[in-house]
Amino acid sequence: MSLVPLKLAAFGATVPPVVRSGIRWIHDDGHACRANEIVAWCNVRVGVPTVNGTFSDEARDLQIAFATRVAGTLKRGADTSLGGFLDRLPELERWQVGQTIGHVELRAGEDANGHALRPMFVAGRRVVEVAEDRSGLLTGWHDRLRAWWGDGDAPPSTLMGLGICDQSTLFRGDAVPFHDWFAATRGPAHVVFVPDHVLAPCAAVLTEQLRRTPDEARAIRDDFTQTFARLAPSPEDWMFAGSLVAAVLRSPLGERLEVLGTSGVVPARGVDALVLSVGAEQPRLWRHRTLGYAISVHGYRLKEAGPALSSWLLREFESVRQGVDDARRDYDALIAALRAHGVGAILVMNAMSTSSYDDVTTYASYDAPLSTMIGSVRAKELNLMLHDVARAHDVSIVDNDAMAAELGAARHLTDSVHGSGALHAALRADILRILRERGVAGFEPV
Amino acid sequence: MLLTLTLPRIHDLMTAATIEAVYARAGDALAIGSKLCDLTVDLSAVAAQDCPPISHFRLVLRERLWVRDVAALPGGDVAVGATLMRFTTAPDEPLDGVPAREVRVSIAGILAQTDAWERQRA
Repeated sequence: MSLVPLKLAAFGATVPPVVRSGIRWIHDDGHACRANEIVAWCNVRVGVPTVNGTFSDEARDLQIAFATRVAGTLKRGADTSLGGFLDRLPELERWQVGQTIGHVELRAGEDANGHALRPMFVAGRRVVEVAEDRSGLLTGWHDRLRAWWGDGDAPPSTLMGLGICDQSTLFRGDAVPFHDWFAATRGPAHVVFVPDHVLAPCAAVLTEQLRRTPDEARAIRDDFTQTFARLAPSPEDWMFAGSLVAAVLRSPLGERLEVLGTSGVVPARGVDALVLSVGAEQPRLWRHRTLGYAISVHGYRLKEAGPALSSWLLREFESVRQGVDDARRDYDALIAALRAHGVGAILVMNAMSTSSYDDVTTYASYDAPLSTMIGSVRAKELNLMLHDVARAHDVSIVDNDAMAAELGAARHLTDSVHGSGALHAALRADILRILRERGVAGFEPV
Repeated sequence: MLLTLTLPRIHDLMTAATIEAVYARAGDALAIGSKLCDLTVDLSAVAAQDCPPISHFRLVLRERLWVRDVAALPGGDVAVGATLMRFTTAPDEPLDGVPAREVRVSIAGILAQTDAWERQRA
């Protein structure tokens, strides 16, 4: 039986020094690894101090997960893990190219060339830097999460998920963050997920984010700090409202993203494929009375917000009904803005449109239009609207509605939004199918 | 025949609901398809997740009846099984007997028609 070393990879000649924490092993010695299985990770920092802003907004939550290229029995290197903070803070030692952190023992008769370690980067941008949680791989409160294999020498294609919680575990996966995408694709690929913790990414909000000028952003920020402060907000109110307005002022689609690999630090090419959620189109949004910008917040979030936020919204904003026609108009505008911005393939997840709680025997009991009254009718009309959008703009629909029905929504999509692992696996496979049909490089099958 | 409408258990974890609107009034003769009331079911306390399921429902009558009294009040919280309304099949039947059965209703998930904060402002 032969031992294949797990050696730390090189990251290009021009990369500033990389420092790392101790190794946090996921599996015990003797674990039977599958090929491409993640077996360990460590925290890293690129540049000391961070050079030229490289990964500066992800510096505290930049990690490398280690996969084995080959199947076999894991042999952990001695003294690679020191536990405690030494395995969490990336200052234990410099990254030493070629350092062996362990081995994989191949089964009898099997052979492998070279070393077995394959690095996968994960990076999270904290909502605020005090949102500290180094307990695991990509843990913490992040407003953007992403991952990429670190062994490619070409700029990767970028897939971005910009939806509501119907995308959260679909993108992140159940076990190792994002690994399900990379286990199924040849690469080089880069997967980004932007969660909707406070701000729902409806088409109107995303379009405004893309088009907002620095002066407009400054006006929103100044107006917020002045008008909100007058309401004697509690610290909790400030945190909620601050994270909301910070999310409004970002534009995830316009942010410069870099990746680190064997060629060093290279910029991603932009967003090659984007997945939206039609579920982000809520029946109402808040429109600022003087500055005109839109905020979309889930109702359950508003329920959790304090009195200052409710007063601020009621005083400064108008609550505007959003019908299906409004959503169509907003999608048209968003897609035009995305195309102008160079976004490649556009995919939209449709909504589950059947409710097991509905028992409608006559529509006469509901005011017209029904899409403003009955949730399942609104979902059906939004889904139909998406077909018009798809035809008009060459957009692909990820048919969440059909797949959930096929698997059984009572079991796999119990509340119409939060799906099972099996449903997310099916949706991931369908997204990959669409990317391959559209020729998005890097997402071909392994 | 005396009939009653009690708060149905729409969701397994539901224990109560908030009455958002009451459409039926005592003395009304209601046709099939008449709106009875709208409810909010908030499962935040039992499903403590990031997106707590807060749902809204409308109860609609499925038979012709007279409304005799209405216990449900807008804004009130009621427990599953609590009486919301009583009905009779004739307009002047006595109300002192035991209800023969639950009234037949249909239920649909509806969208919130007014934001809670807008109600505060009003």
